[in-house]
Amino acid sequence: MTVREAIEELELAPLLGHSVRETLARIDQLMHRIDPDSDPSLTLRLLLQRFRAAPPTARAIDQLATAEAWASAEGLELERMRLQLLWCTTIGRHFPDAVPEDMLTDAVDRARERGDLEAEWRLALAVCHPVQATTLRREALALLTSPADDAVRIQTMLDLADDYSRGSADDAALETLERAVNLADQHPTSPLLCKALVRLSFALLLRGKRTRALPALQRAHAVSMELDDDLSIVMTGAPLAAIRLDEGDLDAAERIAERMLVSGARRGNWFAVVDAHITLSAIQLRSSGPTMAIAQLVQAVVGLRDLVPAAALNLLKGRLAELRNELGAHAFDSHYSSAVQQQEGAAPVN
Amino acid sequence: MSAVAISQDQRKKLGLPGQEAGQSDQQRAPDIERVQEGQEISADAAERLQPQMGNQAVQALLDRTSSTTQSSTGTAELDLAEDRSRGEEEEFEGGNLEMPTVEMGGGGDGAPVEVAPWEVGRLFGGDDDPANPRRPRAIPKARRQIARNPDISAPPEHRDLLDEAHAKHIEKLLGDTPSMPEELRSGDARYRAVEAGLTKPHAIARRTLRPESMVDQTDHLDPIGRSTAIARFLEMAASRALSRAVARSVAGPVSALLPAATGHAGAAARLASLVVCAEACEGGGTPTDNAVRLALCHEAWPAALASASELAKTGRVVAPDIVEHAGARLPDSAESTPRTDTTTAALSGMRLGRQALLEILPDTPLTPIPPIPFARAPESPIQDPEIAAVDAVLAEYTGGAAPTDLPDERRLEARHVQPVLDAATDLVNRMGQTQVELAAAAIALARIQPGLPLRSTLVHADRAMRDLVRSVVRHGDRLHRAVGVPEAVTNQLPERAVAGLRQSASAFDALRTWSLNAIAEAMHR
Repeated sequence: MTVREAIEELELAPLLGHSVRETLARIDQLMHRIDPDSDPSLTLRLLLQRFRAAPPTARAIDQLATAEAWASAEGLELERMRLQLLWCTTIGRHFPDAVPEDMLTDAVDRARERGDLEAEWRLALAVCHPVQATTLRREALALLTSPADDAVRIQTMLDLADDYSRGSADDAALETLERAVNLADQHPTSPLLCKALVRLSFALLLRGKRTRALPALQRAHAVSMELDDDLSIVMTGAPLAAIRLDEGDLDAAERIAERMLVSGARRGNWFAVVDAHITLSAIQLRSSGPTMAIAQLVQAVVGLRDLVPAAALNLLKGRLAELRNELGAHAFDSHYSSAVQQQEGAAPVN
Repeated sequence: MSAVAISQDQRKKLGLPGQEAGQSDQQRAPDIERVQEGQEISADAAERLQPQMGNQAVQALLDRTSSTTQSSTGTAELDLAEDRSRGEEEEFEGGNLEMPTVEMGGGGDGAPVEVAPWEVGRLFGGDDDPANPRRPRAIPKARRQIARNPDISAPPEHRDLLDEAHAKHIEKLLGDTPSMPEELRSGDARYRAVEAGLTKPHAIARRTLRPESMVDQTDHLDPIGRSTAIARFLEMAASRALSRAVARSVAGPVSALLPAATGHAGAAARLASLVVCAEACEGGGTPTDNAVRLALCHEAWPAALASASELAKTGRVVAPDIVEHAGARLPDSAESTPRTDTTTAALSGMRLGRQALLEILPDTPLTPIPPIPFARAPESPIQDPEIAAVDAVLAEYTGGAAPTDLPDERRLEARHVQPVLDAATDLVNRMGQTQVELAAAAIALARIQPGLPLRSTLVHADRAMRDLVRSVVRHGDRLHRAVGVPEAVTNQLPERAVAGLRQSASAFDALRTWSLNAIAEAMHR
């Protein structure tokens, strides 16, 4: 297979799930086979594919600008337009005002004149011109038909759902999120699937559709764990553990809370850790009684002291105060003494 | 062979093999979040300590009359503020953060009045000046009564607070809560904006969890209100859709997050955890968190307004003076680190910072400069000379002008120019308001991150605005003097004046945007 054929094949690969890693590895291999001086067009196409495959980094965005200057010097109009539009889209996502309007307009006008990059220019305009974003994204979605565009399609659907949510078109937002999940489902264990599921479950919870939200939330949590994505584990674990606890499914709530202890600590999100401790304490209160519930919280206070923000410890102390109010001062103090006796290191009852 | 060979430098920049092979760029290059991650710690202690001086203490006291928890806790901070301001308390109406500064009038019925210190009308005051046509409104009696009797407006959550003895007992059992060492503030622990609502265990613990009381909870010092206030800001201002989605669920908050089994403290922990997640989705570390804290710094605007009211007596309402009068320090640029190019990674944070500033400043749209309804529509030219002759005869016989008469001399009348002069006055007032807005932005930033180099931005904005004010006044003055002048000698003065005023308005709008961006950018230096 020639380099050109290999690059054309790469351009047809959906940049989702497990295939992303393979694509990136193949791009690296091809970079060694290609001579940028003799084949600038192919090199730029490869660079573009590498940019699309990996999450945008600060360095990669800077590289786009350099590549665009190179394409301009080589007179490679199509690559130049593609790079400009990609740059505008990426920067516009961070700060639309930072995209020079004349540069965007110029790139869009040239793409329109040539009848090229129909979806790309619409997506670049949508990011920088929020008022027209919904229409432009809808039009772009209709133009993105190749399986190779699945990652862009899913991201566009997620953006479109956000447009709908902002415009209070909640039904349209939910429908679009469901479409994004269905499409992402064809590429298991991708971060975009996780993102789509998180978005769908939160949108359903927001509308009070807890029964419909639960399977999506459960799946989002499972995919987060497969990806070992601590941030998503905490985001999905917090509502999921709360719902399971409310339903009386103490085993499930306990499993999720235990996992949140780990992920929360790894992220440095100590409020997630404290939330998990309070959930575990509530589970203990139902299953093992007040002594264990108090022990759970006291152990957390002692174990986390000096390591976490004071605000997180205050939450644990606040919960202990609530338990003292619920149980009565005398009963609480008695349970507290028993809890302390079970653990060494905690302060004795005065 | 290509016409233009790629340079080694370009090769290096693009990560092409040749210079260094092996590890891919995706593996080598840190992602944006990692690039922005640093261990830098801002001195947020200032946020907690700053409102204890002078007028700010008064303002802090007023700000907190609507606070559900802190006002009931009797913190040392509040006590200090109360001690210092006791003598002045009577002079201020308060409780409502959105209420403009109140100035006690020196005459009349002595009722407090609402005024804007930048208003041109306030500069009237000499014996020869006419009375100010915009007499400030008196504050409604009911509002004054509520401010004087905070119990009337006390939210029902107060009644849910536990007996303090429980929290004190727990403190006694477990000892005081130590502060987290700054060196451990890494990862998501850098997002500390939510912590200001969780400073006291007895404010966190409640008898019951009442989700209905959390709807529209806006007290940013309440354990749950703080989370929901941050979430409300992020759901509108965050650049990442995932961040907005998480924030949206906390802003409500979603009932599924509030099971009764974990109590009020559990709910507060869960919402705080999700707020930290929303900030983490946005990325950016400490600057992002500073932007969030900035968005909650609602006391900056009343503080700036109070200072401006004081300074208005001297006739010098300019941003740097307002900031210093409010007790904030404005270091010179030389004292700060040199300015560096803005990185791509900082763009999201800057955008969030600007949104935060817009959040704490009043939304006052600019009045458009109207056209002068002076030019008469041209008469339709009649091509046929016979019809023209008939028209002339008809005009003469029906009392109109004879063909030999000269046309009426048209003059610019006061009624024509008054709407434009009013709009010009509004524009000048708006520029004065912007001085106070920029000062408020600098005060807020100084409370979040003291020592930032903002002086040069404020000084530049002040100079530019003075030039713009002069230009507006010049155009307005010309227009005023043209009243009564025949149209033939105005040399299109009305049109030129309107165009000049519109240019000034446009330049002012751009200047305000630039100033706010520059202030937000300072957080990244």
